[in-house]
Amino acid sequence: MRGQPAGGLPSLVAAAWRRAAPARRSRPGKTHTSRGGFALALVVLMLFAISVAGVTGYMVIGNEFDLADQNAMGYKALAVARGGLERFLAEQIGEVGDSVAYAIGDGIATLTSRKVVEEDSLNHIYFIRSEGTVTDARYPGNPARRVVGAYAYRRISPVNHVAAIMSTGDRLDFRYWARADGYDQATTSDCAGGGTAGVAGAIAAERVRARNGSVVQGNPNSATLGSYQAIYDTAGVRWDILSDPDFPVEFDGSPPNFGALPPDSFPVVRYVGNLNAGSSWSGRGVLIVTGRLRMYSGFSWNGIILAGELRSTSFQWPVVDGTVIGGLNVKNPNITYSWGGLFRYHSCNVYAADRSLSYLEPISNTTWEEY
Amino acid sequence: MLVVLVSGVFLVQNQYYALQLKRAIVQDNARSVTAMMASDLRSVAKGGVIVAESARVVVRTPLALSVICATQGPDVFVYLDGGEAALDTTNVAGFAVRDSAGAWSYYNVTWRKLVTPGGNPAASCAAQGADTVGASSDFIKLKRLGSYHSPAPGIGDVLMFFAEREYSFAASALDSTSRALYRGPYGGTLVEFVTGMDSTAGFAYRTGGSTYSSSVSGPALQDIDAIRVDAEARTHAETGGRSDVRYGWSVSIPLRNVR
Repeated sequence: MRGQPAGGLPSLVAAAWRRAAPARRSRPGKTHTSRGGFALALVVLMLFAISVAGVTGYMVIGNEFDLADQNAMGYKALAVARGGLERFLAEQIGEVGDSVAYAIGDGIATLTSRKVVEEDSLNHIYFIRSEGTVTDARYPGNPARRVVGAYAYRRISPVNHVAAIMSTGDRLDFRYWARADGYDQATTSDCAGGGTAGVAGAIAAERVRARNGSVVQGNPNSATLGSYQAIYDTAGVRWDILSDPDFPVEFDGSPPNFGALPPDSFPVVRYVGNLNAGSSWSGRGVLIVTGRLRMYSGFSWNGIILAGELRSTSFQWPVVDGTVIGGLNVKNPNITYSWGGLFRYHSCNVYAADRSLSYLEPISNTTWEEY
Repeated sequence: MLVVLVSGVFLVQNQYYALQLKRAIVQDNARSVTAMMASDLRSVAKGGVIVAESARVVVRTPLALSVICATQGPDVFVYLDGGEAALDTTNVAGFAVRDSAGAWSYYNVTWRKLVTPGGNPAASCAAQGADTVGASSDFIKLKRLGSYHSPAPGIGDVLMFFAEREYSFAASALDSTSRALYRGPYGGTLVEFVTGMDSTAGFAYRTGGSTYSSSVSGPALQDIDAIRVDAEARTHAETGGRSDVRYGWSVSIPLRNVR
């Protein structure tokens, strides 16, 4: 027999072979004709149907996702544009730059500004345009883009000129040749606006007194405004912003090399904490001391000094040609300057320094979205 | 049997696909309504809502704001970002003047009646301190604003050029079984903007506080500081016996220039 093992096999093995042999021959025949073909076709069709369903579902959901994503990108771009506008308005101090870009979240806000008109010498109107773009990494050439615009005043000279030295405390005393002079030390040869009638020599809440050869003079000689709040409001200083360590200023922590700066540069210099100012701190511009300020001999300043608190001194000869405003944190303790101290109003120095503190104030209800 | 099985599979798959498509459509409808309306409504200023009904709202949408930078007799020169070319002048329904307190006075006049050639706007504004470098075409001349607004607007005054836009939910012209959102110029021909809205879609208005009213009229229109859009979309299921596919959300749009 074909397929049978050759010669003399044991009967048991031979019988098993006969039983197995028909089965091996018949199985392939049955599979091809009745079961195998149907199952295979069904499986293929089912797989095909599932694949089609999956692909179409994926396409529908994918399209929907893309639409929603693009919509969200548009909103993001708008938020970026708005955020850029708010940041520009909030951080602006001094000269207004033509353009600046901020990275905000996933996008970039590009700000441009243009001076539109000088309403008067102290108030200029600017147009601020903020373009927010958010780029989808899949389509880098086609970012979502939204534009918002707004108008803002630039307040050129925000600090009011009211006294050669002003303290929010109750009493401000001068003794033994200390001097506060509110008459303008500047003339028109110093600057076009120089030679003014001057300001008060000294201002405090309840009392200003000069004794023992000291002088307090000006237009008027002195004034009392009654309270910390009245003096704070009169000063016109945005102290909460300027004293915030997070608010950026030109020089923070140490004075610049004034010799390296142009002579018409009156920068903003800030010291966070208590400062004993000696000759190394002499300079010009705006000096902001967030804590206590004690001025010593050798210290001289041309411009504006703003201090959280002013301290008394004795036998010290600081010289300030500009204006000093102290006690901006809380009501200043009573102060006595004795045996020295010279505080003189100088309109040109104050104006020049004041420009460095100029800021943008949005004109309310003028923000709109450009199409 | 094989045919039945295969047909069944494809039928179920088709229903699934159709359902997903319908869901996508209703979501797109709802999203389109709120996205477009938010852009138009967000910048509306105080007094800018003309009609406030549950299914209809008409607003004065700012197209651009400008500032008067110089005057010449009864005429004024203004700065307009991008110049006349950047403004959709055909849709300008009028202008408004902002007072020192931030309130607006509105006047309906076409752009052609407002703008006038002549003079040298850029040079006139530069003389008042304007930075005109690279933007001389952004300065234009407007005539006789004093004939609309008294006192005549002067240097530093802010002007708004607005379009009057109407939105309304009404029966769809494209699909008679559903409603649609129409959009267009106030008093003009409205265009069907979004089809497939439900009868519950509509508007609500906040006049200070936190409560919304379905309609506002009279002097209270001045007090509207937010508009809520209830964008309820609905479409019929692909096969009978099934519930309609619905989707909706409500978006409250604060009017940023109302303070």
